[in-house]
Amino acid sequence: MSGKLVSRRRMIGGMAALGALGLSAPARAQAGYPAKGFKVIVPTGQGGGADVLVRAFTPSWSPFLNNQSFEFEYQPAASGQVAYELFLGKREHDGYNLLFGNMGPETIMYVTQGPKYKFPGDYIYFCGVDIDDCGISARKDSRYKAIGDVIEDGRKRTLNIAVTRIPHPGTIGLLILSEQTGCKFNIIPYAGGNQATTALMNGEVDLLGGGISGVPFEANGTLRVLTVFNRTKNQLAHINDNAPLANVALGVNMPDLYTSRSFAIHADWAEKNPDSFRLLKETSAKVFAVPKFKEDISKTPQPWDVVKYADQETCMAYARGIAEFAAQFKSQLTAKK
Amino acid sequence: MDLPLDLLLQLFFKSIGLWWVILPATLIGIVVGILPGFSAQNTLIMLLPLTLSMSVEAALAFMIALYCATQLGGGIPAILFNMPGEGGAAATTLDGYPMTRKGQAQQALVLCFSASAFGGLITTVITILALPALSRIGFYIRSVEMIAFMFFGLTLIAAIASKDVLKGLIAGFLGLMIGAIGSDPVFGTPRATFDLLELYDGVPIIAALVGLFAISEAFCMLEEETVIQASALADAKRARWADTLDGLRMTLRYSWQTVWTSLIGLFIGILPGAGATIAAFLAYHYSKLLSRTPELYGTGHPPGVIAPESANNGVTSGTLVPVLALGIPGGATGAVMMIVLSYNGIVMGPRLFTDKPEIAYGVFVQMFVAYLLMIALILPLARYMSRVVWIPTRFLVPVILAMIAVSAFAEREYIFDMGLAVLFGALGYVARRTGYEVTAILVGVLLGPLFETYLLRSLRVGQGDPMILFSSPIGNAIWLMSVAALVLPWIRARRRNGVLARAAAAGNE
Repeated sequence: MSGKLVSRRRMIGGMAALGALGLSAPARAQAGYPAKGFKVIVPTGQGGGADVLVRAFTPSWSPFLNNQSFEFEYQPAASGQVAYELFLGKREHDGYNLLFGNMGPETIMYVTQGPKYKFPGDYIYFCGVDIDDCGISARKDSRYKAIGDVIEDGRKRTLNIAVTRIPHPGTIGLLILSEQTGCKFNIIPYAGGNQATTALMNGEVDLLGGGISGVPFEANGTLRVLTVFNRTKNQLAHINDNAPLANVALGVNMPDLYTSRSFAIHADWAEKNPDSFRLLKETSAKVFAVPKFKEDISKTPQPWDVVKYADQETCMAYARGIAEFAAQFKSQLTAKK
Repeated sequence: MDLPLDLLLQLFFKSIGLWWVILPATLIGIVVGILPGFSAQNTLIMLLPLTLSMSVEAALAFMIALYCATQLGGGIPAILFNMPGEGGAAATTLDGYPMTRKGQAQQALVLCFSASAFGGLITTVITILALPALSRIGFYIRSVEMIAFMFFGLTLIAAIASKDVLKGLIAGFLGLMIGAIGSDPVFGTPRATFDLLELYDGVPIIAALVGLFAISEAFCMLEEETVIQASALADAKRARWADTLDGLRMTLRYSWQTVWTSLIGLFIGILPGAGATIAAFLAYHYSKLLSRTPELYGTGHPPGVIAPESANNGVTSGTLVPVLALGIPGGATGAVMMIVLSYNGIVMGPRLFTDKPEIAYGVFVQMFVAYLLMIALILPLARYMSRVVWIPTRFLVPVILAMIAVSAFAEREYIFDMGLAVLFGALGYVARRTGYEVTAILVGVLLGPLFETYLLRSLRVGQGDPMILFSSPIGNAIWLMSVAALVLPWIRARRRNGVLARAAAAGNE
């Protein structure tokens, strides 16, 4: 470990070398794609879940891509809509500009806001990196010990529930659950996971909705996952005290609702450059078997169990499915009649 | 929890041994702070590969020194040119620049440096002593308390408007309207964006900041030979070490001011979503409100420099409290630091204090050492920095405008923002020339969106019942303070000039 650390001598030497580098412009050209570094637009803020994940992923992807570098740009405005507008409207469609987005929330935003770009025509999600099931969580010391307690109370009064943002698969899950059980939720967006968690911790809200992978690690382990919006399996049962599936615990019929982050590329470039696009797809799939990637993930709050590869077809099917739900609940997601 | 004194002492000497990281980080931080648009978090993100390759102690020392120095550096252009380098330094312009105009640039810089460093040192020590208790503040401050805080911040508009109420309020409301541009905080629906993508995230603060303050001031500068008033130029050119000592004397004279305003910064820093700008304006506001000589504020009054500078440096330790104690970053800088700590396998939370106390306490000890080294490094520079204002404006202004153009562009890398900064510059220039306060506009632009966010959130939490806004004892106390902030200056003015004074005079007769 100490071999790679920066010592005083190395730092001073490095600064001198950096100065020298400015004087001599490197002239190095590589044949074939990719011949230069990639730029990645991240539609969320610095230090967020997507940032952590993409920074863990790209160092293991780079060796498959002529050791090209990855440069990140963060555009969280309007729940990611700005990032897509920039990616599609103002960045070159040259195979070197990528987007690493939260497919669920950003597809919902697409449906509810009706931007100028077209999905699925303009861009292709081609490498899903994780699957984070949505669900409901509460403080361990709250009166809600099980999801049944929530439903019972929610039939008597409207429950305040914090979400990171309204356009989110977790919100759709809450709306479906409300329809099927008669439980009333007052959904409050907090513009980020940290603020939503703080609102639950300080008692401003009764519950927390949304992705559940980070919940066991947040707020010093004082939160409990009450239910998971997954039809078949709680993939994180071993870290969330075997939280029950909503369909099993409540006898409802809810679909799988999860968030998933994926790389996207311009559709017209992919069509014109099928070999290069294939290279991106094949090499990104290989990253999941690279030990360094697993090692880097272990250094993040993200559990390895949620890191799952999804190919182009799976990603696009997921986004289309979310788009259908968003259209179905558009009035609740936009407060427009 | 007992304070591990042996460990703290050990950490102190270890941190001093990291001078080779702290000094370059401090210099980078000062430059980043001076340049508007270059924020600590963006710089830390850019330098992430470097910090990830360092040992965790060195990386933390680097990030902390850079972060603290950024807050300090922002005050330099605010004082010398009326151009805040960081949002946190916008309030520093109110009295810092008038001091420069009076030929007291050196004293103002010393006030800024010493208040920043002492404010940082005080809050760091308090944080070390009371970390577990401080980490719980976030649990008592919810949206209803935050909305009261934001309202209190908005009353600053009225305080600024006290010179000319109507013009001040018009400027403040204009700021609020500009602040309302962008996607709404609940559903993300664009408002008044004119279909311009660049405005979806609201008006960029840096473009507004550099436009309203820097560009408009640059235009005004051109009308005069130098930044300093002609009558004070000769005096300013005699800049001596005695002026540095004079600045230090002023700091000592108002030392209590440094203590309590830095505590405002610490408190605001702990709250998620607030930050250095809010802290600095609130500290200035309180300082003026509680002063016996409020009429001196805005004319180059030393406490008007001390209050915002010690507050915005108090924020630095406050921001790190929820990161370390709860693993919840209050802002982007904290989030970036979390990346580095996580990368080194460090899990944040109360267990950090038992599992890795050398990290938990080490962060604040490093901050303490960073401030100590910073003051030794920068105080002697005040004498030389203050000479910049002697340069004739015909040379100075083009350089400043070029730097501003880069600054406006740097934050988001949009050419649009450069144009917007010019537009705000024109607005600021007209406002200055017609007696409207640009600070009132900026307060509206800054606090308007936060006020709206917390108001809508509170009303949603209250399920539509507006009485939720008055449901919290802490919140109610802040509401009362806001009312006092509105009423007190009016009562004082009446007592001094109006009916009460005449009544008293009549009584004496």
